[in-house]
Amino acid sequence: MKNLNRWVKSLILHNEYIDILRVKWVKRVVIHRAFQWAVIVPNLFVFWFLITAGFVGSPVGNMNISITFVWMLWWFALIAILVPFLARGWCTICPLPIFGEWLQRKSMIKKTNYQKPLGLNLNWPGRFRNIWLQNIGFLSLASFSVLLVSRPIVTSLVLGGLFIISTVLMLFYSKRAFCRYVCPVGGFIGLFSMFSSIELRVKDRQLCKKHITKECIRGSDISYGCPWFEYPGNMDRNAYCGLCFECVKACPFDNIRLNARGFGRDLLVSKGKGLDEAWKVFIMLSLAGVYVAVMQGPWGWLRDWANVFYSPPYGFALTGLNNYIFYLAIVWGLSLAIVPALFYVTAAISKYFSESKHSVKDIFTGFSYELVPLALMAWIAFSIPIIQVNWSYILNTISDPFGWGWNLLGTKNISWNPIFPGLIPYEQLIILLIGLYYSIKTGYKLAAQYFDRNVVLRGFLPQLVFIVIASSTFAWLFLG
Amino acid sequence: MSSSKSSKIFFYILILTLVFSGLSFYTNYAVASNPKTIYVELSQFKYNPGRIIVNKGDTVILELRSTDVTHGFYIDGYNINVEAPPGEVVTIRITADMVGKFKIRCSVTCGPLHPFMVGDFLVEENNVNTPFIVSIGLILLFGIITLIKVMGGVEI
Repeated sequence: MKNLNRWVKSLILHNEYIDILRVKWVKRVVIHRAFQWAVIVPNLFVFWFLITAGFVGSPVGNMNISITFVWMLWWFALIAILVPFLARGWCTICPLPIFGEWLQRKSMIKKTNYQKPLGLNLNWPGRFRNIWLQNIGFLSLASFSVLLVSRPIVTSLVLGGLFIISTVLMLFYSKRAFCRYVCPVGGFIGLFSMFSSIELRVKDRQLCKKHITKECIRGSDISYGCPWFEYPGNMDRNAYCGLCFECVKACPFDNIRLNARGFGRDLLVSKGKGLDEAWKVFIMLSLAGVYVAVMQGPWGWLRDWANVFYSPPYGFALTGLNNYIFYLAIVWGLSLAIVPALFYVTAAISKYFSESKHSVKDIFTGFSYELVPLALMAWIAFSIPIIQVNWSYILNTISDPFGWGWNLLGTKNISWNPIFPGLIPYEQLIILLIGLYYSIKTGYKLAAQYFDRNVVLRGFLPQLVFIVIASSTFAWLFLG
Repeated sequence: MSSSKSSKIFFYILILTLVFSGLSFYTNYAVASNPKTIYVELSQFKYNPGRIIVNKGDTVILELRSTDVTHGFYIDGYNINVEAPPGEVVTIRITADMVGKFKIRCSVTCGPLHPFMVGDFLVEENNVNTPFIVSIGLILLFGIITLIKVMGGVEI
């Protein structure tokens, strides 16, 4: 309880790091070799159940557990709870890469000491060691998002497909190359994890520097080397730490901490920033707006444009291709061109005002991270009504997962009854203001890093205008 | 400005937002004008018109007509929930006594995109969407206060 109080205080005041691994039972749990197996296997069964439900159950989305659990419950839990508070905590329990990993290691739990893992164990190609594939993958899924989140069979095909792709890729390429470079979900989890209130870091970097054998990279008799290709000794950001805790098991000096901390600290770290991540920010910011407009907006024609492959009542047929192409142009154009172009102009004005020696490209890349809090909060605001309005569908499908008329737990007939729906726009506004706060805070601190001390405010003002306009656009979508 | 003082201001703004939300939600309406009738067509997965805009105090009669399957017509916060079977005209009478944007939602499973079948019932005050205007004001105010707070806390 005392630790919890300190954590809450540190979240608000941003002044303290609390090592959660000092809680003995937590450490005992995460260093146990069976830890990840124990959290993934139940999740694996749930996933396979959901995939099965998508194939055999009702084609009506809100009557099939594959839709209600994945796109209502899981999505809300991921974006509003797991990512902000546990960074890549989802990756700890994600079952998608587990077959590949078990095959690579030829073991489910025990540390094996084979010289060569199963599969080709190739190095991931250098030109793809970034998150561009994840950006394209996520945008591709977003292009079919209306279909994906409403049609159980499509959800099952995508989840099943990801299982197959991850397993096959892991038989070709070493470790968790799929998670780090390909998984379309992992890309935005990594980005938003940098805002998270938790981090895994080393206690003493000097100790790591002097340490020759580096079991955290190479592995030891009791642990594998970092499956995410990270070196904890110089890790400054959450972006690519999958919280598998292999390094905690490996470190002979007990030099790893799991810190509770204030939000958004990694966004100020210069190392590791790149255009691939910058574009991920723009994709997430743009898609939040597009999703609110398409799925929660009054523009039925826009939904029609996005709802390609629809044949009433629940069939598939290619309809409205021309309009769908317009929709694709909106999704891809906003994310990849229009919003980045507007931000580039903002960066150029910042450079002009501040007379900075940094190039416009550097300012563009560096300051894009100030938008992460706003983008995350926009997604949370988008997700609020999903639960607040549709919670009854989740309970209905717990009792009748396939939509076959069962009533296993007596919750099948709970009627649709949104909880305080009139308050939703105001809740969304408050969440947006939190994003605004953190974006301005991050942006100003970045300005202090990039610009001379006497022109920090001048250089930051264009950024502030961009943040306020972006916030106002979301306010218009929610309340306008 | 000290960190604790600015934190307090930040907290007060949040409270102000909540209070404002509550006030705009529950304020009494003015004298109702003459009822006006609006025809609303319901079809998979949209309302036409998608946005119904009225002034606070207006009494509106909505004539709902579904063109394909049975749809629902639920307005957030207004305790209205009716079904519109295809081919029938369902009439409801609403007095717009709360200001703001209220989502119209389909309350009867009508197809794959049923949860996304939404529209807007926008209640303005003298043709002004007060909550939205105030939200922009809050964003600006909040932005300025945050900037002042951050400027006070960053060592340059």
